[in-house]
Amino acid sequence: MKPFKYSAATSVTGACNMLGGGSVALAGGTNLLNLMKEYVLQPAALVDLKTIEGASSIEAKDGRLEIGANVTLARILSNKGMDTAYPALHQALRDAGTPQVRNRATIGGNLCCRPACWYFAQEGFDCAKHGGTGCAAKSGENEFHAVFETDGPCVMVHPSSAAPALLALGARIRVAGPTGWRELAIDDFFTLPSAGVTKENVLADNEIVTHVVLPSRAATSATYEVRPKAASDWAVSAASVNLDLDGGVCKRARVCLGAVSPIPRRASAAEAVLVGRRITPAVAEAVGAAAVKGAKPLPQNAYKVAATKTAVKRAVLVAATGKWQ
Amino acid sequence: MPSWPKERNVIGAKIPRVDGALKAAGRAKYSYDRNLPGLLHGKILRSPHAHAKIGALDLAGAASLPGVRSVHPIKAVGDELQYVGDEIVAIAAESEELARDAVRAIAVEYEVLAHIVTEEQALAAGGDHVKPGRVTEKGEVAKAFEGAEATIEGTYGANVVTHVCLETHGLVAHWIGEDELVVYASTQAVHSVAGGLRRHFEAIPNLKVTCNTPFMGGGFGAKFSAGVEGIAAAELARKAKRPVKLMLERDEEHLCAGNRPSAYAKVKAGVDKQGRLVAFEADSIGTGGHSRGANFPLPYIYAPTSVKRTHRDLRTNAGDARAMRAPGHPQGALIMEQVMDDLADELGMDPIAFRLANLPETNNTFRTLKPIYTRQLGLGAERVGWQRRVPRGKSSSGPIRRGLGLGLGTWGGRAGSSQATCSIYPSGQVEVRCGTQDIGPGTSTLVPMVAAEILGLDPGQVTGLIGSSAYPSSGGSGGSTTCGGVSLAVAMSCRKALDGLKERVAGALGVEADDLRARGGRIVAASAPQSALTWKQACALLGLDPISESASKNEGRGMSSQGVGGAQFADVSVDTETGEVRMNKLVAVADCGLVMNRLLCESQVIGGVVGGINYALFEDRRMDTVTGRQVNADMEWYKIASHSDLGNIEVHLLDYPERGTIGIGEPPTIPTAAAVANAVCNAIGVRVATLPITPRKVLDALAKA
Repeated sequence: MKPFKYSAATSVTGACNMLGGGSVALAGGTNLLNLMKEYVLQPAALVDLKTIEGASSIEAKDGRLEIGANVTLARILSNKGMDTAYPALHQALRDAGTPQVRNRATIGGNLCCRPACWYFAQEGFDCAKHGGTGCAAKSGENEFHAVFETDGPCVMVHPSSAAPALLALGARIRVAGPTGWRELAIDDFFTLPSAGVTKENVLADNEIVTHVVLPSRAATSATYEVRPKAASDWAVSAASVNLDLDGGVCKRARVCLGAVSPIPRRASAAEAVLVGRRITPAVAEAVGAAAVKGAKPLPQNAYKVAATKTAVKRAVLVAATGKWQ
Repeated sequence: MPSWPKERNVIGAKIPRVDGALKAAGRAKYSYDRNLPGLLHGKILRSPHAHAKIGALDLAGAASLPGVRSVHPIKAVGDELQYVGDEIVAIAAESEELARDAVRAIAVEYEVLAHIVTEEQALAAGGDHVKPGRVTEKGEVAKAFEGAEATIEGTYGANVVTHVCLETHGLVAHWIGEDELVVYASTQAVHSVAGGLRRHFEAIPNLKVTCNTPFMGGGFGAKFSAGVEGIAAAELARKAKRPVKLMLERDEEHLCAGNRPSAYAKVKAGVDKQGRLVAFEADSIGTGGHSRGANFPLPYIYAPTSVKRTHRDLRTNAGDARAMRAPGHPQGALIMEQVMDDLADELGMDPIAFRLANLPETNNTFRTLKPIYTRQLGLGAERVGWQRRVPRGKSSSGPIRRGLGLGLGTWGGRAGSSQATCSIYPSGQVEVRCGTQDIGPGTSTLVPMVAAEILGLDPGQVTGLIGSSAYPSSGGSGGSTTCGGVSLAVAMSCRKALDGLKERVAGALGVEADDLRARGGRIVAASAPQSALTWKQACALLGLDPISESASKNEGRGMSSQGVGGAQFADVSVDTETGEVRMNKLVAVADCGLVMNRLLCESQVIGGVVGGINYALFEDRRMDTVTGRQVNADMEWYKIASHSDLGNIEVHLLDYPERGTIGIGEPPTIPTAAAVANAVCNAIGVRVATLPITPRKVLDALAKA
């Protein structure tokens, strides 16, 4: 392993001042350290963010819920009322990784995880993210890869379990840099490979996520995942929905997809189907069908389109009625 | 002929592992945990190419790196590398990280050659990638098909899977002076490892080699020799004059440490009006890597009146196969038992009745199986709720379909070679030495149990000494031969030692030695029960001379046999809209003659079933055809069941004490995948042609139907 410098940041500004130029941020380490051990990433320096004060708590402020970037997934899951106020997030994190990973991984780190791709995660494959000219997955083993945005330079799926749920919930991301901070809608946080193949989000090299901010509870939400294994496994498809129901009629809706695209994907066509409708199994079915419009699966993963249709349908039903069957 | 005691106090009881607490607490020292003073760490440079020739190799740069202490070339310039992971050079350094960096610093020029890594590529390439099939023929198949009442055709199979031993391969090598080598190896055969090292270093006069394996984290057939990595560790240690630990990393374990070959078969089978299997034609292929075969038994268990079977081994640029828990049998059972279900469904016959109608009365090897299978099928059907089974594809409406399926398996399980020595000391202590090893089934617990049974003691009063080649030679733990061999050798050595003790006691009590019995911690005269000595009093008569008696398992002829049958029933739920398969229940009815330790025997069966469920649903070695590399040489994408994936596993052991001890290591993993595959088919109405049965394959099969 290439020797690296380790620094424990004590403040957000301090961390940002140390980042960039080969220094990368370390949070829970459940992703970065694996990539370093595989020689996939060999940063010159690590800046540990876990030691930053003020980013490790969950606080209700002005009707919003601010989750510090250092808060672990396990801590979010055990936060009182999370399962009833933000069920989409709770259900998305419930089975993320393994218990050990959830105890260690942070919400900030989860949003900034590198691709869940067996070509990216090893040395020596053709991968544009590592300076290659193509994408080994496109002509190779792509059973678990994207079914949307597959024309781009990379067909990774975004690994964040939290992201589709946060997108559905309309979360905002607070980002800090050396000179200050900004807050942006999570819709604007992730970037497609076509917008710059070496990165997955808008963060500059010397910026970090400090908080995830959830709006006050207003709607009813759910996440439904399809996974080969019941636990300790990546989803092959995940759907998070957030429905604003008024007398049973859907006024506003967010339908978001995970594990099927290089970034968590909003399924706008599916949202349009929901607005003005009462939730019935037939409507949920139509929402599912609309959600996969435009999918262009790879040779090995057409099944993901069907799985996604189902995940969306069931998430809609769970959000509206508490159960899908 | 010797026999087991008719009344048994210890054998057959549920006795927890003697080392269970140590293992649960993490205090058991595995090979991986041996950190000797001055320890160096070994790593191996492996081929990054699936097929290449070494054009140039420069070790000087790497050898001079800080912390590097020795270098051991494994291949030379001009040698061909046959798969990704093929060994080139081993290096020992002060830390694991330095050793990894050092092997990366070795300058190698590769002349990259064309590679073949999948069955399709091998078939297309032909030439020496396809080993022409041997044809097995019995009767006139073509004629039999003409007269058949019903015929089915199908394609069935399974991909290559690897052993995924939790403790990887490797050893710690420690030279004491110039001529003594002690290794701590993760192995299924301490004597084979010591023997292999002895042969490798045979130029050293009066060499002493000992292999120690007090604890071992899984082998499943892949760990019978020191291996390239073990020899390398010993060479590195010798050159550096320091102990070297070389345990493989997880990716190396997948790439280079063995696997179960793939198996795919096109099968046509026909039955007559009475539902008897009259015609069976199968054409199979499989790959066992670049130099190993992939054949497997087919037809399996049943004996069709006419058979035509062809098989071709495909040579690929991938790591070689090794024995893996019941070599060939899980593949044979998987294919045959699906054929049997397809035939039964075609005839509209109950699959159990169809099997009973086709089980041979006798077969060449084991004459006793039909009555055993009949009992197993009855019990298993009852426990899984077979009466609930609905015909294929007629499961309840709704997206989640439930299905039931079954499979049968068979195995030998004879007693393997083994020798043991029982020592009874004047203090009353008892030690039993046997150069076997506990690879997980509980051999460490078995040895004191058997001794205690013979000596009339509690198992806690006997010290079992195993896991070292310093102890009397015992065979490798493979083929389900350990329990039989070790039990017999231990029992007979204890009998001999006890005979010696009885002679002393007879003199002291004034009775005939033949009249003495060892029971309840006493030596008692059968004819005069008031004449008795406690075990301690009896042993004190030995004065200064302990008794030490050795025996071979051959002396226990008649106390073991072979030939077991097993039946398993799976109850699954399949989500037809997501392709997810979930295990509800698996009922395993197993047979191993005289059950030695009911608790550990059940544990063995559960372990076999877990392996079978993994084979059925999750494990899948995925090769990238462009680079010839495995993409999932890890435990993230090479999927293994979590507890929540297993459902309820219910074990029933049939007792046939009159058959003596029979091994149970492989049998319980044989029929599992077949039972699961049949249950999935019963649930969704279509066959998923190959393992693993993943969401992708389920949804693709349903979409095609």
